[in-house]
Amino acid sequence: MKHTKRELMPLYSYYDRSGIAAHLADMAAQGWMLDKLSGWCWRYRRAEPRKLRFAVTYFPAASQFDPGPSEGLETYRDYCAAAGWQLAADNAQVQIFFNEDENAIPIETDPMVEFTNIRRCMRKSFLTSYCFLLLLSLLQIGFQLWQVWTNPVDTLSNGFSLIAVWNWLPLDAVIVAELARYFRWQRRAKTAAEAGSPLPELRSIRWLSFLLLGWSGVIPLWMLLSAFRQSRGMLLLMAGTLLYMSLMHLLSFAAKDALRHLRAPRWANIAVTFGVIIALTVGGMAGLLALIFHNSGSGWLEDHPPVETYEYQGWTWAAYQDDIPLRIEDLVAVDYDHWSTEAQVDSSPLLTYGEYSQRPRMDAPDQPDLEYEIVTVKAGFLYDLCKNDFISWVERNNDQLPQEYWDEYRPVGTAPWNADKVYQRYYSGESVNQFLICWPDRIAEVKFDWDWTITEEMMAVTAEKLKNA
Amino acid sequence: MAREKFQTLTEQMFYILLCLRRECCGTDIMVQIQRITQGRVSVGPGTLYNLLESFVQAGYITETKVEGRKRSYLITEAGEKALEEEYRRLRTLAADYEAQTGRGGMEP
Repeated sequence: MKHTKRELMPLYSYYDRSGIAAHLADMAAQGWMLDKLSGWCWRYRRAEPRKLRFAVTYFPAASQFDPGPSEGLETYRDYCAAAGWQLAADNAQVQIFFNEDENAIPIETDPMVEFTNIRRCMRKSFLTSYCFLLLLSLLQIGFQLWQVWTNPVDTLSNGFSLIAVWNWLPLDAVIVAELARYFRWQRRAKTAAEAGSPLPELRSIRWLSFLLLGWSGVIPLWMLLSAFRQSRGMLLLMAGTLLYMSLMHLLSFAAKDALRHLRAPRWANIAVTFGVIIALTVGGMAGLLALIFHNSGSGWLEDHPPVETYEYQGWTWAAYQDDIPLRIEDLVAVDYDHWSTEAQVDSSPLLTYGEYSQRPRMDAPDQPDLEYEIVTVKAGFLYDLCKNDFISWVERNNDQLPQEYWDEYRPVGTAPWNADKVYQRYYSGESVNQFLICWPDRIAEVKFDWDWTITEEMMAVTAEKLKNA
Repeated sequence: MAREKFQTLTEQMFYILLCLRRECCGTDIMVQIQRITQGRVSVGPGTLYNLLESFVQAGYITETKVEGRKRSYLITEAGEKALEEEYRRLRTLAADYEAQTGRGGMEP
């Protein structure tokens, strides 16, 4: 027969006093008495089934970093015990009592005192942490939106970047909803307390907690899947990072509990626990960067490792043999076959973005090279944003230059390209071999070799290959 | 400001101060109030703890003795004054009632 029982993530908000009390009374009636309380798990021990009254109260001066109950808290508990209320379990400021007497005097008998106490406790714990989390996530979202605005093609085509934009939003929605609910409750509770009436209830929204929990599970899976699509190395790196973060979480909890066990004062526990978190974060970041730098030449983390590497003038160079939709041989006749062709494609539900290049080895400097980028816009509303990304990148320094030196895209004839719009790059009034070609759902930017003369036939071949790539 | 905080005393505040005209510890206060009011007024342990803390901060009572976890309190001059003012306020209310209704004493 089991003597203990655990409820993982019971999803009751600690301010849901009546909800928690009713649940614990049900459990006690079934022979399970609350024994230990934490944010993630409630532990029960087997007991005689009893009809008990439970009460959830708050002691604002208590802290999860205290080595034990403070003198004030012990006095508070003594008063409760004198009125028949025995402590069942506690977690920082939350104190849960039970009483066998159905007609016992409630722990709180003055609504205004009760309201003031709850407000003090909420300000100190719930409101502070929620506001801090909200500020942090808003900064994160603001930064990601700024990234989308300034570098939309890269950001919106990359699974990681998209996650970074979206993963905070459900949390924000929950925080804002909870804060709004709390402040609405606070207003109603104050009115009730001033009238001497019982405080209104503030119940948990359990479905919202389930949703947040589900989302918290989806995010790491999405991250792992995005990493898997990049390379095996990235998948291992991401899995390792997630494991390290979990380990860091566990270690910080272990440090806090160990210091409490050693009866270290609150300030020492806070200093050591946060010191452990900071040290592990900095150490983890340093380790991650070292791992990335150490493996940067090996191709271990890349989505397509080089087929070979070679030395030239004391440096190691990589050569690739990726399939690319348009090759130099499609445009001009060349007598060279040691090309390095590289394709890097990122895809998300919004965009597919590919960067392609064909270059000779470094020891064949007279051979031409070819570079192009293709964006397939799956979400039509992003088309202009992506197009402007290419144009504004070329024109990014014009505000610091006299107009005659401007670097810009100018519209040119579309016929050879069979496109809606075509732009050619002009630098200081001189045309260069760079074109931006716009089809209805696709944008391509092509950089031909600088000394080629681009003929209409070359334009047509390029358009045909890139449009159907 | 102490007076602003306790402009008027609630029943529970009134009886706590009244009990503390004699040195008394927290748990005894709950029993005494029950006895004085014959069960009409009860102070919950949480409310008692918080009110005692507030009264100490406001200077209405003072901690006189700490024996382990048992703390004893005694009313101060400021507390006596607050208690007396509340008494006078209640007397004024009663007098106004009597003057307006012509009824006095404990008559219904």
